[in-house]
Amino acid sequence: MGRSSLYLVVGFNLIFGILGFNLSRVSNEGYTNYVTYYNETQAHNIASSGTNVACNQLFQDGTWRAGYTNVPFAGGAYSVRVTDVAGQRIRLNAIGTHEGESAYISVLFGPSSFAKFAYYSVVEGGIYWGTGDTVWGPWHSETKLTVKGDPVFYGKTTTRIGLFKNPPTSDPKFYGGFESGVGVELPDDMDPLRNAAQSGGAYFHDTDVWLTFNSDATVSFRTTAGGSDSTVSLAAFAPNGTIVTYKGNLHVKGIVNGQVTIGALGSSGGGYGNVYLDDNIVYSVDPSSSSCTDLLGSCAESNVVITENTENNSDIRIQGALFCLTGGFTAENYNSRPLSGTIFLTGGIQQYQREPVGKYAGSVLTNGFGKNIRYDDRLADLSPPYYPTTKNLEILSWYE
Amino acid sequence: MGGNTILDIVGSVIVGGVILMMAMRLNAAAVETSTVYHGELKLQQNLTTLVAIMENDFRKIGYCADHKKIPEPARANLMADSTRYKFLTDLDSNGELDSVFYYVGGPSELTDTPNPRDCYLYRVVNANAPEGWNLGVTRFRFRYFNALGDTLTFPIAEPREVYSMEISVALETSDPMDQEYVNDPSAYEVFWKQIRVASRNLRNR
Repeated sequence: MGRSSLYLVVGFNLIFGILGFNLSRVSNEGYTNYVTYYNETQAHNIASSGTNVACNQLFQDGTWRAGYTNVPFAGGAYSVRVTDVAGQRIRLNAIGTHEGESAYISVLFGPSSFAKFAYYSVVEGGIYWGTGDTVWGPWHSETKLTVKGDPVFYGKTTTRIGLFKNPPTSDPKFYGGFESGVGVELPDDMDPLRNAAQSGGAYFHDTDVWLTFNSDATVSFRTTAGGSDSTVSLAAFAPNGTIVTYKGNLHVKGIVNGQVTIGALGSSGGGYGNVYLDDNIVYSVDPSSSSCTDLLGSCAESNVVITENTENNSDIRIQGALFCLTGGFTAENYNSRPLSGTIFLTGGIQQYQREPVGKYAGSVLTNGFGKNIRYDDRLADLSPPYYPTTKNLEILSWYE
Repeated sequence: MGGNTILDIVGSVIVGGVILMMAMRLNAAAVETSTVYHGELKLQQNLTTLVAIMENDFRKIGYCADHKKIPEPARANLMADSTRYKFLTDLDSNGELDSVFYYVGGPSELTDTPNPRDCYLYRVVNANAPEGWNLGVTRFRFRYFNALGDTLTFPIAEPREVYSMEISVALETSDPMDQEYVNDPSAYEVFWKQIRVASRNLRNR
């Protein structure tokens, strides 16, 4: 009996020892599972933090390429490498490590052109966006966005100062996102465009220039109001796609076949630095077509103005990006010219100050133009040659 | 001497019987404990695996190696519902867009488990045939927020308005001890919630 009891006891100890070992193993596996997930999450957080630090450095100094190597952070470390890639873009690769686990993040930066903005302004002048206003494409103001009612913004909307709802029950829709505290400054000058025209484009100075673009990829031009046009191929006239008059005005119309940026530069004020739209100026191919490769950038150091003439008194069609460094997009004699129909603009407007194109009595248009402005989706990624760029880099893609 | 032998036998029988009963009770308890432990471990592993896959996918909403394929990142949101979400991404970074669709099936679909509440979780990539994951998912909920941080109400007519989201997932053991489903499922449930999922790519440009 004593021997049997001993066998029993030994047997029980053995069996329950195995059971206990198994339970302990299961318990350890559960803990290991938890620790592994924790380490993976921490590694990712460290990589994300390192990426944010490096992005901040790059935003402050676009030439920064030093990167980081094994910077201790939160119990682990991160390393960042910054390299140049094709198309003036920058690739940032970050690795975060924590207790043997690592995570990888890669960010692609690119230069940012003003052409991408469907609407940009520095001064809104107390104008608000209300119910019925719809904006396709990115929108930015260096002041605040004032809304009244329910305007709709399909593109990413950014402001420097913030959003003001008046009344507070206003319910704007931001289908592309909204971000406040974003600063996008206008360039100090138009020298890059001017230099490009001098070195590889068509450059005029101290004279107005009349340009008529033709659908056969030629351009007719003259330098006096009543003179005769000379017609040349656009490629020969402006090999790098830039046409500039310095201390003069541009008068343009026609059908653009190709990619060109025109500029009236040299001064602010009514004297010169204005681009006058004397008639429709459109592309040879509908920009909504996937086969359209035409791009037009109209840059004015002062204003882009719809001329008051017979051709423009019954609608005007404009395709291209409009840029005004010190002024805005307006219509000549907007408050006294007769009702002139609608501005059909496909492209984008970037201006220092929002200017009127028509006059209203209450909600009724009495003079000038109504507006129908659509964004050219291609401008989200393409820009006319030597079109003004922002001082900032922008994130094109973020992989994590 | 004969009397002692009989006494020994009787005593051994009694003691042995008592020990045997103790062993059977211990065995039942050991089996129960082992089953519970293994069940909880499986539950935890299911959850961490699911969360790892979801986090990997949701961080890439709106990403494409060829960024020109998504000029407007907000268009990556294809459909947003309380239990379903579909979006565009580039899973293998080959510059081609992929669509990923997360949704749950009904509890009646999953009849192989005793748990009446668990259901298949589907993750469909592009136009591939749906394959259900039997992970014991009993709750799979989304809440969406716009760019101003306001909660979006269902139905969401314009998925592009989604700027961030909250994801809640609950898993239960598909076959717990004694099939105790009625009283308190929390004993066999694990819950995970990410309060704010905001893909970086939705803020691009």
